[in-house]
Amino acid sequence: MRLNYKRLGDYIQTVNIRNKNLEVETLLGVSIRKVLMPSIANTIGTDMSRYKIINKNQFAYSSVTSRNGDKISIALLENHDKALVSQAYTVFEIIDDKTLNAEYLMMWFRRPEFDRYARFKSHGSARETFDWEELQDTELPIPSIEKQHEIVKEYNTVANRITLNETINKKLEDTAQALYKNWFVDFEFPNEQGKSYKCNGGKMVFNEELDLEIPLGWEVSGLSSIASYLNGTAMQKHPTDNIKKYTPVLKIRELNLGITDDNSDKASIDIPEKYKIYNGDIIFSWSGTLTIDIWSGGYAGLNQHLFKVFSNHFPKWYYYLSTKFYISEFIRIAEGNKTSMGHIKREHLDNSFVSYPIKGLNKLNLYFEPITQKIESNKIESQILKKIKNLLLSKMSKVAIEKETVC
Amino acid sequence: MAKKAAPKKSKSIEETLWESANKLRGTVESSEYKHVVLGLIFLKFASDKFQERKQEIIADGKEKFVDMVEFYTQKNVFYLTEESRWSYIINNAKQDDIALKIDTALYTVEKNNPSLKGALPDNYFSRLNMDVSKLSALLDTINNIDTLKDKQQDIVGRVYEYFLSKFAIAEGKGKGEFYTPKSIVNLIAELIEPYKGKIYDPACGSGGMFVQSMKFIDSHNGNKKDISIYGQEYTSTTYKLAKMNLAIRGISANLGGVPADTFAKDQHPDLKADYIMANPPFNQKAWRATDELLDDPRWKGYDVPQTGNANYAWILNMVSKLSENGVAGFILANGALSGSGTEYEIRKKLIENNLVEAILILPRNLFYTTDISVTLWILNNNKKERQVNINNINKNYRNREEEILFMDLRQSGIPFEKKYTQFSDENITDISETYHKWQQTEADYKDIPEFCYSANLEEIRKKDYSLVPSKYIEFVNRDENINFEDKMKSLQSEFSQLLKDEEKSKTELLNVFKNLGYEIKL
Repeated sequence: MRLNYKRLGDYIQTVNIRNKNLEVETLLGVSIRKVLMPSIANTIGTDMSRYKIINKNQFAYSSVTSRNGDKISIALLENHDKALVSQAYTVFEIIDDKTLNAEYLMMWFRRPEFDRYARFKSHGSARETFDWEELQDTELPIPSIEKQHEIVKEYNTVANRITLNETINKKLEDTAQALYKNWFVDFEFPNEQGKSYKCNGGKMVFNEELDLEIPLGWEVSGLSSIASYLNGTAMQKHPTDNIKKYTPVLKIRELNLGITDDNSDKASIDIPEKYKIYNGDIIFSWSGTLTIDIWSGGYAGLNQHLFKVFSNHFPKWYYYLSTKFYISEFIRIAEGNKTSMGHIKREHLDNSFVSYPIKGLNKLNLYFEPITQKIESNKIESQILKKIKNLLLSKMSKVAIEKETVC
Repeated sequence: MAKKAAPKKSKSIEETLWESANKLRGTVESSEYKHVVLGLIFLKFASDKFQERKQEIIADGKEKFVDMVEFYTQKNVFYLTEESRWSYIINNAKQDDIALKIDTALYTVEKNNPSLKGALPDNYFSRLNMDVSKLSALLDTINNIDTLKDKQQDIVGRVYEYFLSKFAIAEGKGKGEFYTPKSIVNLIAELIEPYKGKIYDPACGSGGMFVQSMKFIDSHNGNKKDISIYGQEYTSTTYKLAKMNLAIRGISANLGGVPADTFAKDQHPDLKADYIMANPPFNQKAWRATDELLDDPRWKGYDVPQTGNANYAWILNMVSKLSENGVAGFILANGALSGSGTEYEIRKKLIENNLVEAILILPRNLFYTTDISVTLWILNNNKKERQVNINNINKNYRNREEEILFMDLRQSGIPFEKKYTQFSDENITDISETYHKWQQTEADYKDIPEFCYSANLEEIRKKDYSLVPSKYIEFVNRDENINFEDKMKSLQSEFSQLLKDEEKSKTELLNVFKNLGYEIKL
């Protein structure tokens, strides 16, 4: 297999153009997620003429791989025509884009196995570096340029679909929240004639708890009365030695990632049933970073500092959107009582009031359910697409190199 | 990995002692405090041994000889006069001048026992101005160590070792260089197997390498009498730690007459050692002035090591002291594997002279003083085919003259004290077995990707004498072994179900917009 691999050094060359005339101002840095991002470095009093200019379709990388999360920071400039990077980076380009495609090469660098390779090949004392010589010695399959385009196109199709899903979901969330506020806070839900209730003279009665008028036939409860907020448990108390059957632990990190991965803790398969989390469960992180989300990362065990939100009497969309409606308020409370980690208490859930019609809340399912269900299925689809994306990256190593034709 | 909820285990003697002693530190700097605690432990230990011997003499009916020094020294026991005995110290523990009394006791012990010359803290306690109540509480704590309780357990040795490591951790970055973590020393001992002959450590710190070699001989049922020890240490307080450390275990050693710089004042110029074990200072700058040590006999046949970094000076110092079949195992910063200039020239010659036997790159965070990854070098003066009897076991070494074994251990080790790494016993066995198999005929040594590789001289010349292990050891791209077919199939079925559901959900969604009066036309 590896006989077909080519030495990367024969296809790339360094570029070293300095910002002598101060013509470029956009300063970027390479993140460990392998993208060029606006730099947060303080450059006050720095001589910007010594910085390197990087052009579209060129790469920048930092050779130091120690203390870098076992990753190598390397990226391709795609979204700017020109930018600046610190002189600590090596900038390089492909010599002939008819033999090697930049995006194809970037795919090779994106593989987790490339991170492992770069760490393995790094050497040095205080700073372990994957130097230019080692990068040149990297071997990879380089099929015909058509085949490379094909591979890149496949990858981009999947990657773009993930982005599209995320964009659609953002819009759906906005739609659901706008609808919720309009109907349950401003009371402009459609009346019998399908017209907005309140501004068309719908009957209102005064409510003590909310200290304002609510529609006739509606009532008011605290969040904790419409749903249960179950706190997770310290999964450390349920250790496991079984590497095949275990429960991946859902912590705030995983909630932010949307999945559990190899770096997630592992707990026993026999954790109490109530702490088992599945796709579609509503998870609410109530300390540190306060967020609420529809979980779509598959089976997991709920760790402390996270609530599972559920109810037997109210529809999912209702308690999800109701809690979400209060989230910015909760964030404010948490920031206010910051000792070490800002968090909210049960009393805040008791005192956050929401209102709903005594009868017929379920009639509204037909408006809300399709939206939340679509969000859910998009998220699950994205998870699968991410797996496919990683698989496409892995597959590069096995790309069949066609017989080289003699021109 | 989820951490195991450890059962509350009973604390070891060392831990209990450490906790109580550390509570009493007060305002004394950790680096100072170690001399206080370790000095007192030594005194307690010497006293216990003395009392034990005294009882023996009486039991033998030789009461009239209880104050004859020879009766003690012949049994390797220090003779203590009245004012240097632990009982006397404890009886006066609450007095205001206790510090002075301790100093006097230590001074007297050293004076009466030539082998302890320069070993004990002198006038330390009076100068320290330690709070008297804290000092007397510390005396009470140390009084609880029963050094004779369990001969097999080597209690005092264990306590001493534990305290050294704890102090090294407490001092942390940039200090604590008197102590090499135990698992590294163990690894070196298991690799080079020091059974008999002369052992040398040119930068011996508190003497850990020697102690470990002795333990190694013990655990393999060898004879400790077959070994003689030579060392040198530059820092005088550390030199004392080493002397005490060895005295406590009854190990006699030649650490040179005085603490001194190994390069400027070599204490063992004519030594030829069979085993050298060392963890010299890393990347020492300005170890000699430009015009110094230019024709030192130790660099004979090699370039003079550059002034900016002593790594290669340490190497050549050791090479010059190897006996005909001598082996050296030592730790250096990774830079030495690929350094240029004179480092390159010296390295090239060492390789061409067939001295380099094995290069093992170690994980990060092994040390308490720095988090860098370091290298374990093994040099061997005789890589020819030969038969050796080590501790009644015959070993058939094959000719390895133009070969070097490379090992990458960066991924091995287990967590230790939260932020450090150490080698487990299994790691050490695994590593040393690999190396010993490689050395011998008829052993089934094999190259293992990402772990070890036996390179020949030709390959090393091709890489221009770089000794960086990852340039030789094979990397395995795991992507080549994924089962794309299987993975894709399971995703295929998941995905087709999803896309079916999606059709339905899209229709429903369009209906919602329509019902709200905002129809979407696609």
